[in-house]
Amino acid sequence: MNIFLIGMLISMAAYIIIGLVISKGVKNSNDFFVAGRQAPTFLLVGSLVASYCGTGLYFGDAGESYAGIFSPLIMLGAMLTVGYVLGGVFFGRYLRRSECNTIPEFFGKRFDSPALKVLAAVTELVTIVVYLLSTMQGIGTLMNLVTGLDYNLCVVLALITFTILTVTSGSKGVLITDTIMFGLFTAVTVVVIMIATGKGGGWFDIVGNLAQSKPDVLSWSGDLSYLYPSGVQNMIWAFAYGIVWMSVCMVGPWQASRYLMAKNEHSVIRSSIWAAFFVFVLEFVVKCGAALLNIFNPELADQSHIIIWASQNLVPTVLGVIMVTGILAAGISSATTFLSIIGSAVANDLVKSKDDKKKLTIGRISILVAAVIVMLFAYFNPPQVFWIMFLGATVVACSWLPVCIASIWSKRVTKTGAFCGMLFGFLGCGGMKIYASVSGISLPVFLDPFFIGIAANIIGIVVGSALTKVTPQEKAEREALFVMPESEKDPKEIAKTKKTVLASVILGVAVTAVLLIFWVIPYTANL
Amino acid sequence: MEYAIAIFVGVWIAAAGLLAFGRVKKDFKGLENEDKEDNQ
Repeated sequence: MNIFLIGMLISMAAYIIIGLVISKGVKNSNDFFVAGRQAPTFLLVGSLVASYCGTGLYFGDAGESYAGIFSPLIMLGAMLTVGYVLGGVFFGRYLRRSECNTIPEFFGKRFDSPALKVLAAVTELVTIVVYLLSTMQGIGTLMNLVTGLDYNLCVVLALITFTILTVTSGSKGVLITDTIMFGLFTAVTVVVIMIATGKGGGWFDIVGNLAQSKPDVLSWSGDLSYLYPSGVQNMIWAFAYGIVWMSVCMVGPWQASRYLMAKNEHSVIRSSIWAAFFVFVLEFVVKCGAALLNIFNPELADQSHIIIWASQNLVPTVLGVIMVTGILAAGISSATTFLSIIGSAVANDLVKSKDDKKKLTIGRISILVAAVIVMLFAYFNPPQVFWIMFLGATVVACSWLPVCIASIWSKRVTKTGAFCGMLFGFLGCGGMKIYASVSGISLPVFLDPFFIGIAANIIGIVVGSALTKVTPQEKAEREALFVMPESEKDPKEIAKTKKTVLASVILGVAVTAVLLIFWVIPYTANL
Repeated sequence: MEYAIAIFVGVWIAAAGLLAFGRVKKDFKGLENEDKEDNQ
């Protein structure tokens, strides 16, 4: 029993206790699935960021940055923050206005189509189960690495923690624990990277040294032996996946579903802007920090362990324990969100029941069943965190993004168009991914499943809508989305919301400044 | 090219911010003024 294990077990116990305490306030399905629709801005921010940041960031992204593709990854990381900025204003607040319990329910209501609701729920479940699998593998790998405990035992311990938390307290518990975890892993990440780089002479010295000793790591093109053989191809990949992850942040079920719980539309919009800010901070500190760690250990056997290695070797033990506990929190917070969405999808979208107590029970049982299924997958599959995570994200982008945008902003799209778009996007992307995996072929960047899936989705929407007509019901549902509730017209709230949205323009300027000051200028000056 | 990346992403985010602000301003047009009229 080492100190890392003690720290992790204490944190897991704390989350379970918090979940059990919060569960006493869960009275009905509204509380369980959408936290009573009373979530203030700061809880939404906490959940948005915590549900986005997981073991994928600390293992996958950090490892890839350390290995040599920092530049494409930070371009992708900065681009995706736009998903929050646009998501809150152009999609999330209409979702909240609909007062639906889930996003599939929103699609079903908007297009007067039970079939579309079911399709959305199925695509959502496939994506989330895949993503939950990668999260569980990441958590298992983390715990095994720092504690020496058997990997499968680690998976079971983590599973017990986030399953109890989610089953008992539902979305209310998830929101509160997500926010606590967000505070923990954000603060400790910044502190640890600052202290670790301090050991190498400070951030700017390390950037300068790396520019001379391993210039490829921070170069615009990245290490050309790693992903694609040219900088231009790496940039095309980064741009495409910047759009993919922007889509996830904008409309992805584990992101946009937070907005359903907001106390009002102002909270939706403001939380999305704050989330953009915090996600960029984490993206930059983790990715650039990981790249800089090359100066201390350029030949780590498994690149994805670089942040763990730093936590165990470059900072005081207590801080290392808190860092590892923070990464565990990042993983658990994502997993609880995924599980709560699975429960909502089954109880609300797939099973027909008007009885509130029955819905609650179905939701809880489906969470338990999902946890067991994913545990079995995690047991039999070897860890491959980064690419599994990208599979889930890409499928969401390809099957949902065009339909989400069209559902609000298109007068012409019909239920048939939306259904075909979602189905073709899902099959196009998924099919290409499976083909590439099974055949072992490396696809050229322009045949990436993202491009195929998005094109298939758009073709489905256009052709399906051209062959059918918008019904009066669909027209009425869309028009209703543009009727602003009286409760949203408070002038003071409006003024505050407008200021917050305007701050996102300043965020753009700040992002450029940060990248120039902390990466580009010191790097290019030392080449 | 590193400079180009840093500037591109900043412009990307700022442009999105302007788009979002434009939408919010349009949607809330006239509603903020109700407060000023009440105070007068």
